[in-house]
Amino acid sequence: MMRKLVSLVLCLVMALALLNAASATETSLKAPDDYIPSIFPLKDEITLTVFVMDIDSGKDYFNNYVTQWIKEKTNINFEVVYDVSGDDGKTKLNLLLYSGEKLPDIFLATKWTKAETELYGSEGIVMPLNDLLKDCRNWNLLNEWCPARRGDLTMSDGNIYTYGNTNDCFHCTHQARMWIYQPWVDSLNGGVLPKTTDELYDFLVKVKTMDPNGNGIADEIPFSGFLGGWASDPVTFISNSFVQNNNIMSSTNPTVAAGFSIQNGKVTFNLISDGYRKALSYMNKLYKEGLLDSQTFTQTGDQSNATQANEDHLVALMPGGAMPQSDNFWTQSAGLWQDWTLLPPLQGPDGVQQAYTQLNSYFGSSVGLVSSDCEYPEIAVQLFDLLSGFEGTLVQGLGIEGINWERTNEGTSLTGGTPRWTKLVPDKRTADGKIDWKAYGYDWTDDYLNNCWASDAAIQGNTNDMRCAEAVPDPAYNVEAVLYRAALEYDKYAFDVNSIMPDVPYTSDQSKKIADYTVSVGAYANQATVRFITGDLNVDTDWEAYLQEMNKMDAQGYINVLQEAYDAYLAALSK
Amino acid sequence: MQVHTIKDYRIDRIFYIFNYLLLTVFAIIVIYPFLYIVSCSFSSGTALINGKVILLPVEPTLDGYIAILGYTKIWTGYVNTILYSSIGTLIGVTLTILAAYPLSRRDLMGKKALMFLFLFTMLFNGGLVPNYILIRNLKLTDTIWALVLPSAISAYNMIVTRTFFMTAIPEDLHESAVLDGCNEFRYLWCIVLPLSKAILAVLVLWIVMWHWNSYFNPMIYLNTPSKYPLQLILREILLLSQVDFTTSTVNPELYYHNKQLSEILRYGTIIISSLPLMIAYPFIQKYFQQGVLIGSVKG
Repeated sequence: MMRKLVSLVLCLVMALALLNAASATETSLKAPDDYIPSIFPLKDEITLTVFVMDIDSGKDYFNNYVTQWIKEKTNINFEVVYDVSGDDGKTKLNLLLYSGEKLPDIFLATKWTKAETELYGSEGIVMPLNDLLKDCRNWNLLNEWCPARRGDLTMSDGNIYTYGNTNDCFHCTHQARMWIYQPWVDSLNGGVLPKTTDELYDFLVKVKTMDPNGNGIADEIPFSGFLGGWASDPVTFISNSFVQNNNIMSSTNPTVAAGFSIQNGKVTFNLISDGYRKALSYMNKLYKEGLLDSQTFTQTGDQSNATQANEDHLVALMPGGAMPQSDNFWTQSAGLWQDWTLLPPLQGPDGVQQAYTQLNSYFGSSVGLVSSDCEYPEIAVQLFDLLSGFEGTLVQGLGIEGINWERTNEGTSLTGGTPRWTKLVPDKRTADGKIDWKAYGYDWTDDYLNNCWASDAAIQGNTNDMRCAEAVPDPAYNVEAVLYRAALEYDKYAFDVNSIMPDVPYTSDQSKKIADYTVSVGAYANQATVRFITGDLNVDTDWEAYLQEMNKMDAQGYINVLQEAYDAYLAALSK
Repeated sequence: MQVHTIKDYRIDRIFYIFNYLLLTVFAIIVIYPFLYIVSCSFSSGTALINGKVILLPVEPTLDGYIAILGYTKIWTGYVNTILYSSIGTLIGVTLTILAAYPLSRRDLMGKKALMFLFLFTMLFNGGLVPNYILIRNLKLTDTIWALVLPSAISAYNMIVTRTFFMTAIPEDLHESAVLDGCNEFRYLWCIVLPLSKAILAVLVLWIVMWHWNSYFNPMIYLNTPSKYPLQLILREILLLSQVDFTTSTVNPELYYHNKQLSEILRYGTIIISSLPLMIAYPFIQKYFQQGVLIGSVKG
């Protein structure tokens, strides 16, 4: 009897323990841990030569802490031989590839497009990593946590050439944000944010006519914007109240399939839809009545900043990834940026209410390739795996443990939970405020250049949970936390994930055609958008002509090419 | 008979006024950007980012120049540029004169054929990839010689020099020198060169400017950052402020820091990289005016 009782209790305890363990793994973070591949540290030191396309961040890869860290952990001499940047850097890379020199073992980042990566892979310059990656623990885990990751890295011939950089930026997925000047909302609208496009129109009229800055002159600019900043054009946000639009006008590189979405498996071009016409008509109304700044499509970021810095406040509504007047925001201190409130997506007259959404890119600048001249490809791949672990991610992104960051469980994380790490501000400073690296034992002179890598030329495992596990002293001021909460607001109205055109790999023919279409159809759509809004083209009478022009430029061909690539992508995924 | 006095006609006066007006406008168009950059280099970082500078410095400060002093890359770049320019100019001027002088003499055998070879290179070029392969096979990559040797003689410079020799140095001088027992080298060194100060000044100026401003060749052929010339560093500084947000997930704090740094550094760097040549030019200008015109073929 006693034995039965004891064994019953034991069983219960074991069951409870099992349950606990099971739930522990279920609620465990989707973030990397301190796993080190078993082959490290190597018994004999080897040298791996490296090429890096430094994405204009100014970082010095030759004299860098991360190289030291790699040597400590793995006994690999990580020798950076080439560090180029910019378009001319691409010329130099091409020269390297085709002049018959011995290739560096690892291409850390190359800024190749998917088509180029596949091309070089098929020419035998870089080797496919499919088999080598099967044994990589972090690779497999990252693919589990980020479902779109593997698909993003698989080329159309089924090979994987890049390890990929995981840097999930949640707030970038909803980067077309709109900010409204709260003091004027309080004084003119009774503190109520406009919720529909009509309410916004009324509010802007009030700003224009009721002189909220109290200087007696009707100098207020209710709605402004500019091209060339971080999502700083007004069209994206407003048009999403009429039709799904992922085309950000204010960027130097075209978005993936800008202006397209997938409806029921079919690629649709939204910039010729009737919803877009209604959006343009609305914005034209704002422009005509002087509510939209006439300088919007002509001014530069500097001019826009000058307007914001005017003595009497002028602007009520401003688009951007971050709010206007953000100098103090970036330095995480109080400032004028706090007067700006995030405006949630508005509901259009037909009930459409969406927030711009983009997918995270894992392919990025084509990171983590192994060349065919490498004698130790398995070691190279395991090195990538190590880099995307917990410590590797933080070392590449921030720098030295104990000086730039440290592990901690105290305080609150970005999202209000338990943190795992926190940024540190080095306290040993020189007379002019720079970090005194000599006091820490390093011979560097600049604050940021030598202690870590650029976020685009690194192999990290920065999943969303990893990012949010940062301890922040004050979530109200922390840049990441503020933008994260902003994106959370917008996430309620995100596009359906199946309707977003993924970054599919194109064959070289397709990418040639798409490159042409982007410059003809895409550029024309942007130009026409500006002309419709400014009234140069009449939204009612010239719309037909616009559609015909689109047909002449073979917009249908553009749609067909994308459809082809999308279908092939789906087929390859299901293999 | 009517005699026109020396005083200006009315129409001449109108012409002069109009002329001066136009020239003033041109002068302003040329000087203003320069003044703007000088003002920006003395303005504070926040004024630059807010775009407040129009003509005079806003919030005058030496912060820009202090930051430049601390940015050691600029100084290694400066030393490198001076080194490349001086060695490049020395070699370039020597070789150009050694090529132009013989070709300017009427009694050189095969003159036409040699001239044609030089002209041919003006029209046809191997292209970037064959050039790169050539330099690499000669094991000159990542050394100063890759920058200085291939471009030592520009066919155009050589032709201008040759024309100068042909027109400014009379044949009789050579005859009388030979009568006195002078050999060719002595003639070149003791007689021709001292008479060619104008063209030497022109050559030096053109070649120094070419080397001083070149950034593409250094970028292609040099790999180690400690060998980069100043223009390459300036290019890096300018690129620092251009980050693409749609394809990269940028650390916002780093972006802001880089943007500030780039704004502060760029104008000062532009000034200090063009300053030496700007200072030297007025002194060479006298020779330059003579020399450039002499290159034109006469009679």
